[in-house]
Amino acid sequence: MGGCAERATVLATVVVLAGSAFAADLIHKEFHFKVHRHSSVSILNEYGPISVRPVSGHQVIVNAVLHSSKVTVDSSQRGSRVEIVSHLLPGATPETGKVEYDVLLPADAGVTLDSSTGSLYAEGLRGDIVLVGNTGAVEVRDVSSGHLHIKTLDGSVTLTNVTDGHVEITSVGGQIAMKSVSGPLVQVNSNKGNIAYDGDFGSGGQYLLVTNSGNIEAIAPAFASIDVVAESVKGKVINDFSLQPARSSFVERAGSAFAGTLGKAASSVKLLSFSGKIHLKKRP
Amino acid sequence: MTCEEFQRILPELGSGNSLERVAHLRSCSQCAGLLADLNEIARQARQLHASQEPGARVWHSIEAALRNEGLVRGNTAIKLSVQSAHSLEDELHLQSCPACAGVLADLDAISQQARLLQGSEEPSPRVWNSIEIALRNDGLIRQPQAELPRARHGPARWKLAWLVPLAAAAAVILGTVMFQHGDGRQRSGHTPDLASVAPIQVQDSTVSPEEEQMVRLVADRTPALGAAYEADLKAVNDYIRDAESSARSNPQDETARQYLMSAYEQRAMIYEMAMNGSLR
Repeated sequence: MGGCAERATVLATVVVLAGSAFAADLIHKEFHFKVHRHSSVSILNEYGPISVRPVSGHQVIVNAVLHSSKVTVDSSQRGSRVEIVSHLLPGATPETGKVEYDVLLPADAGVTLDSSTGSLYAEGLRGDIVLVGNTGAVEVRDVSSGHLHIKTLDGSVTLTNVTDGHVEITSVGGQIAMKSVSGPLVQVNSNKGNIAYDGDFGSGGQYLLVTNSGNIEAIAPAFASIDVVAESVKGKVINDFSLQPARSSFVERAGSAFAGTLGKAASSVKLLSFSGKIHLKKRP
Repeated sequence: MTCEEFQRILPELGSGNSLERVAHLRSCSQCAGLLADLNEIARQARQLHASQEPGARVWHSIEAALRNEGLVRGNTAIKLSVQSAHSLEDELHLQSCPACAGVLADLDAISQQARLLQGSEEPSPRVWNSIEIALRNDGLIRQPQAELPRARHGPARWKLAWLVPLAAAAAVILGTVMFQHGDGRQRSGHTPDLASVAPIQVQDSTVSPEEEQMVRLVADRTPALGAAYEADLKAVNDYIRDAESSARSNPQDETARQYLMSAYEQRAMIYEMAMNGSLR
């Protein structure tokens, strides 16, 4: 089989340190993989958090803490693609099936993290990142260049210092907070959750923040360069800036919609809330 | 028997397998997989209603969506042999029967699309399940029908019958694209024709029976998540209802359409997450 041959070309060292680590029922496992540039790492964890951070060298180090013997960790490697899956055994519960992952990987690695109930954390990466969670919180810090796709049911989403990539967030009920987030495309699609943006909207980007019943608060500096449209069907809109009138045929409705430009209008910003409040704030 | 020879006679495999064919299947995992895929597609196809045969516009949409998603490249083809030659008797019948001619035209279109598919892109079981729920939820399919007896179809019909699974495959791919990405029209940049969209039968704060079933699947696996899924589905269905109402009132309003698309994307996401979890 080609896969076997491919596998044979890759040095993969798996060190399993099974035994009690922190408490009687906890099992600590550590996996090491040697990878090439732009590797891909996927972790699927039914219950429990996943954290990924950069490490120097072409290696992936997975530290896993299993909360019981009702769950095992399956790992596989095909070339520079590493897959880690928490495998639940019969009788596993959210408590006994929990696994905590702390992963170190090359900064240029592409990452896919999926957890039903655990939190997801990614920091300092430059590759594409896909994060899928149900109720757990999602946090991303200091990432650049790669695309960032996040889907959550009710888990909150916090992004800090995310630049130069496409950012796409879909969440039904999670609160979404973005600080210093900019890029060619930033899209947020929320239902019940509030959306908070604090940044300068960069240059040449398209920003679309949409929520059904949540509020949107966007804080920008006076020097921001944006072409902004804000509109709420049933809620109020508030604008702290003195905008230049919009050139388009947009119809302003006092209190529920406004549009205009600031500076050279380098980025396009749309703030839409069906029934929530929208506030475009000037940073003090 | 070579793979090429085997795949050339694939359409006739419904009439029984020779020892030679069986031997080839045992020794060639690729052809065995191909046959298994076709059998699965045929099983799905038998559950489709004849009246739900998609029209030419649908196939164009499929192709556009697949190309948009990068799933189809160039003229890459799976090695299926399409029996394009018809007997004189068939031709005469086709000339005298607009219904069969129409079916044949559609099937030819399907086979064109099928050639563009790659074997490695066969949807996973979770996709099949997701599609089924999505299609049921939208009222496009109902309870599975009993298998139609093959004896009802004459030999001439059977020559074409093997293409029916491809119709199912293409329909499934359409469903996949629409399901996984909300509405294909969003991605292809087409403006939804809201005036022609049938009203969505979503009642206040309710979930459909199919969605209830999906919620149960989630709750069976993780009880704490069942309530969250149900509440979020209700919220999203309400959102869709409100957004649709707004879009109908303001059919030229781009923002109104944006809300509607966002709401559908959320529902698609919930389905996807629920089915991904339940199939782990």
